[in-house]
Amino acid sequence: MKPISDQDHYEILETTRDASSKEVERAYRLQRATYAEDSLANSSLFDDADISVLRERIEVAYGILGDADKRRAYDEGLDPQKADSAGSADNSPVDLSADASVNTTEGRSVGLEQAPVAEPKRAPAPLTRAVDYEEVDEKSGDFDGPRLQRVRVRRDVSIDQISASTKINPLYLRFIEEERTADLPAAVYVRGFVRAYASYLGLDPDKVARSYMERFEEARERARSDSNRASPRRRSRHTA
Amino acid sequence: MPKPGRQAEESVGTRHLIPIGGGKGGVGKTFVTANVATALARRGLRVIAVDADLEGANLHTLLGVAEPSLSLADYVAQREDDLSKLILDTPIPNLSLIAATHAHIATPQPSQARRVQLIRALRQLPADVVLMDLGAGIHAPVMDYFMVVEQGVLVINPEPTSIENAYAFLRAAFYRRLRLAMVSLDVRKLVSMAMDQRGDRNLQTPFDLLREVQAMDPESGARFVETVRSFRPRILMNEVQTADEIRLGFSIRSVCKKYFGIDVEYLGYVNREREARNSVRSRVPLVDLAPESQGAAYLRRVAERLIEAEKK
Repeated sequence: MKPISDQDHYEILETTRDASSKEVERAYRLQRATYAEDSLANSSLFDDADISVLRERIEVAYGILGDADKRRAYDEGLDPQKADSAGSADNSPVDLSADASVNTTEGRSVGLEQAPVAEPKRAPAPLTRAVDYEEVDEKSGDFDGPRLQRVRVRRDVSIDQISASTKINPLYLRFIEEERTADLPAAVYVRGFVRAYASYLGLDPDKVARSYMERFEEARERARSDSNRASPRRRSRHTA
Repeated sequence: MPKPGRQAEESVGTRHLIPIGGGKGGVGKTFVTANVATALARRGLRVIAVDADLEGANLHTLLGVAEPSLSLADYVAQREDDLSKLILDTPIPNLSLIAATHAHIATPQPSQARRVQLIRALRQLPADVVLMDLGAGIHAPVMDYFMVVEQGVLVINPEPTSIENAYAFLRAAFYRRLRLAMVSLDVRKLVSMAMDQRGDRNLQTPFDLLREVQAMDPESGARFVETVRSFRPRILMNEVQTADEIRLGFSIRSVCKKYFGIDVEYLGYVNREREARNSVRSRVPLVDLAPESQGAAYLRRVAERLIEAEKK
């Protein structure tokens, strides 16, 4: 019993590790149809944000498992003894859920802290060197949405470029910059998005995520309290 | 024509007790129950079909039993304590019926204590297979009957309303099963909170609840996971007309896996069949009325799979 955020690409597509390429494709088609906008099957249980994340994960999973070379690299990466060979692969997306080194910071189960999205193995050409966040022009230790946006603009990177590499919906990337907490999905997903975003820009994903999520959780808590005060019996999971 | 103590000399207790529900009315629960029961009886198994829909009884009609003189209502009202005395013959060899007619209009459902007795009595019925046709909705008696086994059957139509109600049904069964399985009172309280769909935002999904239970008491967390693992309901798509509608069963299975974490078995499908309407009108199960029809073939296949799965 694993939450979606903990599932690897095979589990997301509900196929087996020894599945043939045709079986992987069939599994992908079923998953895509199941969670499509007009699907009858996914009504009433998942909320819109969760479905959106799930769709992204399905696409990322198939992007890797549907490609023989990427699948091989991914499979090797899952084996800790072969982690080096996976690390030497090109900058194709890898799944952070396979990264057992991700630590928890809030006492939750390990998997819940792992990002459910793809992250570039290394930053694109102009950003190959990991930039320490202290080197960024601002001296503040806090990474809020506007600061992330400034870093992005300074590096001449567009939202779409980050989205293309990380497979994160560009709308969510924009919401992160604008700190629209109410429009973002569950915290576990946002943490993954922020990590991937930071990593793309060459920032330290752990530090950025920690800083950003602290503000995010506070904002969510404030909104929840306000909502409780306003209408204690009529809260909605989409707006609270 | 009741048969007091019928087959009492034969082996006591049923091998397979299978509830058939679906949440929504009109999806074909009774039709499926009548036909699967007939198919299994034609195969030589001793089958008792129990109409547990006290507020909408009509299983007897589909099985060609006109005016049941005794029914489950007599057991509910405690006019009869021996369930086996309510067993009626049907026109189909090896197939008997416990009807649900003439229930009390104001209080048709048994009390919780009586339900416990009923479930115990159902397990003692002298049959190879006992099929229970459940009523619509997710009220306590329906859920209790569905949960007598871990592999109850849900009949679903390829329509949004039916699918929505099926998920509501599974959600209710899922949380009730969990609450019953939890020993700690605090954890039970947590499960009850999760059952409130407008309740705590941190308990919106089964995985949210699991995280909280694990944090509260790791032992309960392990029990939670085991309870979820053992809950393996089966689904049947009824009245399908296209390949996409058949595939919908696989999609529902996927949604259940990703949302609840449960492994649902896709038992099979039954096509929309013109002969089915004739079967209801003539009060003869489709597998008998038109055994060569596609619908009958699908129903027989479902019956076979049901028993095969039970044997595992």
